[in-house]
Amino acid sequence: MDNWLMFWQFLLIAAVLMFAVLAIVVAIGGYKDLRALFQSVDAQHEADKGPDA
Amino acid sequence: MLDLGTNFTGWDWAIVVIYLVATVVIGLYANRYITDMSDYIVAGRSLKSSIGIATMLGSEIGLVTVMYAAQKGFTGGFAAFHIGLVAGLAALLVGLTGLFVVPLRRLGVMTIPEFYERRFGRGVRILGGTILALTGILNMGVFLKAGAIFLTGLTGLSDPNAVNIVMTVLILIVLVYTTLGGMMSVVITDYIQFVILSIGLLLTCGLAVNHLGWSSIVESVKTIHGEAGFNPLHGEGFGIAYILQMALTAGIVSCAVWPTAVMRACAAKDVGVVKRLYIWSSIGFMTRFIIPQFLGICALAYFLKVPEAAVLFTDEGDVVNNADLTLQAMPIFLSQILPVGLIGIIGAGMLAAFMSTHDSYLLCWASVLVEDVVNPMAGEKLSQKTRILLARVFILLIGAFLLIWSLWYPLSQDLWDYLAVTAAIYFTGAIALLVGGLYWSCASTVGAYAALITGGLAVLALKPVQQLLRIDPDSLGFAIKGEHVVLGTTVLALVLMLAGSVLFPDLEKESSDG
Repeated sequence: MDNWLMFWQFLLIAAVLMFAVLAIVVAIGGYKDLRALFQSVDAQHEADKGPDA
Repeated sequence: MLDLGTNFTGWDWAIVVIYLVATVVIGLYANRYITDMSDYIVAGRSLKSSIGIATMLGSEIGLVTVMYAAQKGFTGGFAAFHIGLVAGLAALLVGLTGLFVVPLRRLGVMTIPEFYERRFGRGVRILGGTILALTGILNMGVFLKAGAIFLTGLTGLSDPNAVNIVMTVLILIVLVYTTLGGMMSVVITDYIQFVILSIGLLLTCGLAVNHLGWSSIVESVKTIHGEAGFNPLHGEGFGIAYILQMALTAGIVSCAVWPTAVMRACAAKDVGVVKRLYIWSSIGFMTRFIIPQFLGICALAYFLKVPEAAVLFTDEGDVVNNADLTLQAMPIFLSQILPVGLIGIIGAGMLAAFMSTHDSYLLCWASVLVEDVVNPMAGEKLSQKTRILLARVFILLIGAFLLIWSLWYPLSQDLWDYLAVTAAIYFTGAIALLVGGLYWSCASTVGAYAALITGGLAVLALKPVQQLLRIDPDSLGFAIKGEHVVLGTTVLALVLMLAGSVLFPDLEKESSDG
């Protein structure tokens, strides 16, 4: 039982730390990606309209 | 219903309302980006890594997941962590190998049934799409109920009419921004929800440990669950068959077969992004179980010392066998320990998670019905405008069904069991078609039909169905466990795919061999 407890304790701490780092990285990166996404979709729509638009 | 009062105040309601209003505004704003079905369903295939991860986890870390994971932690102790562990490892495996998701992205399909048509023909697509949509809608049929239980527990809102009104308002808000914005608004709101919920869950874990103390938490699990609370292989706990089922359902199926997750892969910019998406998301797939399960364990430790919560435990010192009560444990625990302000943020984050899961699933099932059932039946002749309109109509109809079903259907078994079985009706056949279709050139249309139909056997895991067919424990003298039915149906579907393909190969293949 103690070995299992030690394993789950380690897993819990690792999970919390990894999730915290992931949240920070994704929050910052996701904001940049969103801006790029809007620009990309706008550009695609402009291209679809063609030179006559 | 356990009634211990709550720390939720008018300030917290204000936080929740401000968040919900902002969500609707975002959905309306995103509407201007929609011109065709590709934009509506997969955001124009422009999703890059970070936003892809945020939106995947924003949808997959839903209120329902948090609720049933917390319930598992409450009823299973630390041993329940095995579910998160196998889920994370499975997602990592998918990311490293590209299992299912990379070939699907390379094909450029928008949905799994679209793949069915390319590989096995239009009839398989229509049947597969119908099964997928119906089981998916049934699967999400209890989400509103789980949301109601959470809201009741956290806010102390005990008037059934008030709860039903709030649930109705929430589903209407989801319908508004999903109908108008499609995947674009889903992406934006999922991102915001992921950030808010991540901060909220991490803070809550810290507060819970600070409030209870680690030793007290461990002792509580020892007292109630004994060794089974730590050892997932223990005979009185989960057992090996359950662990294998979790590796399949919470693992491979959740990240690589379940359509909402696969849709994210289809929305990724390229194959490289797909793999990075899954490698990094494996952390989320693991923690989405472990962190809420830990909160469920903390709830166990808390209520063990509260005399008014004796209804959660039996006279023998076990956790009571009542799904509604054990589902309430985590939200009521949060209502007791979280301070004003933070409880509002958690409430907003969780309701946001609730809505983001709904918007993803509504979009998914509506697009399956349009793209994989109606449009193929119409000979692929529907215009973009008609398809978007139809998708929006289906979203509204599904929303109406959810409201009626979730508020009326009596949940007579564990939430996770209901979800696993309804999902199994779809995925047991889908796994066979993906394995055969993507990795075996001899997989045939007859084999595909046989595998799809076999999935229906998964309903035998539902207790009401067992009672109807007189195969319940009272009739047989022994219990047919859900994990055995799911694993057995999966194997049978694979066997029938193999047998059907060998005995009835596709005509083109036969003539080329001849």
